[in-house]
Amino acid sequence: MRRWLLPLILLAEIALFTILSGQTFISASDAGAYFQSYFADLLCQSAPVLLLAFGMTIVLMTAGIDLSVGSLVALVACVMSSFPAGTEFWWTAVPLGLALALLLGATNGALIAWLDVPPIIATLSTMILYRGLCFVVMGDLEKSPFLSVPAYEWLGQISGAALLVLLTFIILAFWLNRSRWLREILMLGGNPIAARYAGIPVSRRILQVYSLVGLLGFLAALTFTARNSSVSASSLTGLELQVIVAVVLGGTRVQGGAGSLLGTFYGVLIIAVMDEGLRGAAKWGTEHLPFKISHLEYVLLGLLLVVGVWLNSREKTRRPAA
Amino acid sequence: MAQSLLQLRAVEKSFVGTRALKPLNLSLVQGEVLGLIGENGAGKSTLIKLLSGVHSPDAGTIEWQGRSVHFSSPHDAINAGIATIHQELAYCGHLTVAENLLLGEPWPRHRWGGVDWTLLHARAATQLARCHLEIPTTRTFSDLTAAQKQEVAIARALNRDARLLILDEPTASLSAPEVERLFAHLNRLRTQGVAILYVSHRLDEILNLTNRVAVLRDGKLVASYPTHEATVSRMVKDMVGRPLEQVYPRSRSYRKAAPLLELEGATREGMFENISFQLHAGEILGLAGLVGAGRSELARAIYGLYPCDTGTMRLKGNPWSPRSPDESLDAGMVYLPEERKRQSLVLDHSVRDAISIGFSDLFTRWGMIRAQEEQSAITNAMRTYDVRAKTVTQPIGTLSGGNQQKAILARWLERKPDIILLDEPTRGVDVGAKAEIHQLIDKLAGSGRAVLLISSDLPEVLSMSDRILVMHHGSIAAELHGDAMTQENVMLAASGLHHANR
Repeated sequence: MRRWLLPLILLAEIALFTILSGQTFISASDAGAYFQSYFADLLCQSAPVLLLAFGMTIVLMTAGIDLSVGSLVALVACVMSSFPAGTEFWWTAVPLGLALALLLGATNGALIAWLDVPPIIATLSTMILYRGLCFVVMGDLEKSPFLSVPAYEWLGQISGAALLVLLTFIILAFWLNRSRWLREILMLGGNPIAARYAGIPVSRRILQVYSLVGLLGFLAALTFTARNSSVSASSLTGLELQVIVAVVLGGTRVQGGAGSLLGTFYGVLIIAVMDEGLRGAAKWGTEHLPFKISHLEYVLLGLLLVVGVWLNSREKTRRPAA
Repeated sequence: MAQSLLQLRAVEKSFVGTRALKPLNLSLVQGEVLGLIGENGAGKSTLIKLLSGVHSPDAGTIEWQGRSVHFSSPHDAINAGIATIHQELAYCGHLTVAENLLLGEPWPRHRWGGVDWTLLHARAATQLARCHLEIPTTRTFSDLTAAQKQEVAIARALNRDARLLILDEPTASLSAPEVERLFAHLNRLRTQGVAILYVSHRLDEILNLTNRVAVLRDGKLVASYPTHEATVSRMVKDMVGRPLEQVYPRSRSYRKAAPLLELEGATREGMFENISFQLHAGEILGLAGLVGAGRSELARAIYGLYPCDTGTMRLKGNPWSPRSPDESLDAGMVYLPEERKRQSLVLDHSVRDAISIGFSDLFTRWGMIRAQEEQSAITNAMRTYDVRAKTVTQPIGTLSGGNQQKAILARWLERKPDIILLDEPTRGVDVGAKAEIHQLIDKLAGSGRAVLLISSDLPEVLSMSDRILVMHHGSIAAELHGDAMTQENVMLAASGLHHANR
């Protein structure tokens, strides 16, 4: 059901917001141009969320959760922003950011796999910890070295961001779909005891999954900083909520053992379109409402999460498909 | 003739995909002890659950003391006077005996609303005394022995005026003297007019205790007769529904071969102690004992789920101290755990995934499974081990217990292991699948594999094994060969009465 339901919702949503925004088209080519730039913006805007959501999908398959993704990306971005701009940024800040992201992800994994901390508590702790470190690194400053780095802004444009996202998606989806690794992940998510009895190195796999989130968090940090050009200690607060809602909406269930990357893709876009639509809501003539329409965002996110979980519990026997 | 207490008329029950009970009639009179026997999966537990209000029948009526009743919850059944003592006693281990006894009824209070502990313990003590039990009411429930726990459970049931007591495998974890004590207790209850439905695999107990025997097979009541007409062989024939040789095939004769697995003084604190034995190629070594005797714990240590504290193990002549099960798999050893659903399966994963997780690492490249090879291996395995499923994408949980078990066997045996540790391989499996699994085990040993067969099913372990080790309280109580392999000897050793002098 999800397979056609999600794209359908997405299309309906786009149509609705296009109409509401009062956009009129004088010709087909006009409409074409409009949607071309619309989708380009959408993809660039949601690139960080998409990348993180891919990782989160796999985390949810293990019956885990990662609340620290927003803080992780922010911390990586903050640390990178402390480096001087210039060509050397590419071989100082970038590799260091990558190493840091992997380390932060692996820390989550180690807490969960080795110290047996429940994922929600482990990543709640690191969510706070990493955010705290952002403030330590940045203070109250807002830094923006990124656009002075040669060729960096390419990462935020449609060619760069889309390439990164699609490449990640294709590699993950193609490889995972046929890999034994994913089967092991699904089994340990569905029944960790049985996975251990089946000789699956459960701790190692969990460490790998959370490190993969770290890696994707690094890519997310690149696309985010390239597009927003500046970063402060409180950047990306609440990002984890968007990511989790998108993944659940996409049909990955929180109990583990099943999930879909393609569903996640749709889930992210549905939320991004909603976000974008609400932001443009000023044009709808809603001034007489006692609240701003764009403030509805969290209300809708909450509702979407409930709907997503409910739908997932209805189709328990879904086959995992990458 | 005593008054009829319970009457089941054409009661039936189905679960997704299986008919657990076909229309069934059964009656019980006051003061009667009815022995209910049948193989695993014959419908005994379904019947118990209907009577104790866990499930409701799909059709048919339950008449209780002459009136048709409908139990919508276990609470209803208890109130009506049907008490069930389950195998695993559902009590609050951290509370005292008194608290557990009076759980669910209003506790005596002080004037200010606090609990009157003195009165509470006094009440509990009188309840115990009424059942001729001497257990301090201040003891924590989890500190009691298995027998004491059971006695408390029975006392609790009787204090709620139970007229029918259902006992599900009550002696599974009791020693022989404790069993005798329980029987004395039950006989006393019988004279007080309490009816007992006694479910057990132990046929000697059935012969000892009951007035009448009812035999279930495949959800049907196939026979019912007074106990004085019953013999062990008649009961077995009725339960199994086919001659014994077919269920317990034996095509080979064992000749001494090289040891594949050797244990020398293996010990793990609190689990097993000073275990030494050799397992040879082509041999089926039975490992018998009561539940909790440390058999599964030992197998798991051999498989590498945790290490031994002291002692040495050798595998194919090399020192063996695996750090995790994947080492065992690489070394050619597999372990089939006892609890299928908890330890082997993800119920909503496909049959394909459930089977191929055991061996798909054998044909991966760049971490990717080669789809065609996997497909043919699965098809092949399902044919070899007779796993009956409509499609390979069907969730494994929709298969019957027997087919699930065969799928797990396929998962491990397709690796072509040399050493096979089987833990209760036919638990909860219907007779047909059981016979197939036995044939398979027999064939495995015939082709030179070493099989360690852990089983609580005495006929199974007696007829399949070349040699039997009996464990008691974590150590090996006896090793039985040839003619010494009898039901009595195994039971004696398992309850700690047989000294290693044979």
